[in-house]
Amino acid sequence: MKKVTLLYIAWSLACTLGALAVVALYLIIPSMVALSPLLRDNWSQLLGALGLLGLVEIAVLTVLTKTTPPYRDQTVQIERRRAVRIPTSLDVEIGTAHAGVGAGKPQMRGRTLNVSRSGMAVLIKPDRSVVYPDHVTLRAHLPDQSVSAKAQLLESEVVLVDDRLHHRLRLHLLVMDYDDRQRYLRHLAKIGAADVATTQEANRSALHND
Amino acid sequence: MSSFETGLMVIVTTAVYSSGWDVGTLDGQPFVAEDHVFGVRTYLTKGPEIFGWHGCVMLEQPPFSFKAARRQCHRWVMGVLQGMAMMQRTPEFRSLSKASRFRFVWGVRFRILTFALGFPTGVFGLLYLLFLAGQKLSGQASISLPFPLIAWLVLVAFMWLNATIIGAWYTLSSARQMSAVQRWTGGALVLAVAPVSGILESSVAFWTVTKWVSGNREVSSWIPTPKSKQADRVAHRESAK
Repeated sequence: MKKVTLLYIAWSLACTLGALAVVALYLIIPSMVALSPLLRDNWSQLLGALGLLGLVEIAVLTVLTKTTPPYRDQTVQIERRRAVRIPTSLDVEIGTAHAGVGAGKPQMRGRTLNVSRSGMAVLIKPDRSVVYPDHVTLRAHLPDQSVSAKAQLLESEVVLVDDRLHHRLRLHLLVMDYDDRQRYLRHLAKIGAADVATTQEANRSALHND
Repeated sequence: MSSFETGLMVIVTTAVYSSGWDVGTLDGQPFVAEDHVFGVRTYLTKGPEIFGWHGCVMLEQPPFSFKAARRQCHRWVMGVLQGMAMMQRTPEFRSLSKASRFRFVWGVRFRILTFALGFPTGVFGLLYLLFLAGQKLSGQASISLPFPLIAWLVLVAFMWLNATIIGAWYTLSSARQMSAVQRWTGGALVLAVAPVSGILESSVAFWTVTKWVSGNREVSSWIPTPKSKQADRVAHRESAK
């Protein structure tokens, strides 16, 4: 954050006065002139114009405050990317429909190979042929609850696991609801602190038991 | 499926492969808004179904200087006028229904005209309001417009200034790197310069439309809007040579 100096306070005041001058010139004075047939006295006209301005601006600001998403609900991609990948096995469902395109396309089930703050690698045992779109919907089942997100498909490849063809997808998380995001990050913090061997073992079993 | 972004839209690469990106020239002058020309051609040949919501995320960088903004605005208006002239010459356009042709031509003309006419409106509006303020502050008898007209002007002023407030609000509310004081100052600055910046911006559209209507359709070379402050400084130096 920029340090607030006296010079900055002066600049801020100048901007505020400039804004007030524009509001007076474009809204208050014309409103006073428009009200002049009804209100003869200048002060009454001024009060009437200010009242009108106040009502309109309260209405506008009410709509603005109700329709502006708070910081917390903004998308994930503006956060710094974290490259640390934690090996873990979570059940996931991948929806191949995105943004209303391709509704009714299949849901694929799979397991994560590793997860990070900004994405995950997923292994899918396909039961049908599928062409993955650039963007997918995602539902990851954490031990206690599920989280949903929209993700970008960075890479998909066919890999052989236990002599069976699987799809390995690399996903970048784009949008996740705030509460889901907090749950997801809490889970990451938990498994990141856990014994690496345990998560690696879980990862191995995901590869072999799926 | 791969795609790329233009200033106007996101285009799926396969659409470019089938329609082609080499848009050519108009009466010997290069098109300066080739994405618009591509969009028009694709609409005419493939129909409105080809357009839709893509769901991708884009980052837009506004110009860093008035000079760059002026060049960009000139290119938009000139490019759209070129695209419209090109469109009207194609057999696909002539095969459209009368209603579609009207919507196409007058929809675009209306937008460009309202943008361009913002210049005389802004200048005369500012002068009239200064005159009105002078009268009011000096206590002279008001020589005002008739009530319905002044009421209409007040309504338009409310809508215009609130549009500026709404734009500034949404821009600043997501600027999480700024403190509350900085956001307040930014919003106040936007409001304070709104009359002048509006006049300056629409003056470019007004000048471009005047140039087009008077038959001067020569275009300068296509200079992309610099996407960093350093690139903007370099572009200024280059254009000054």
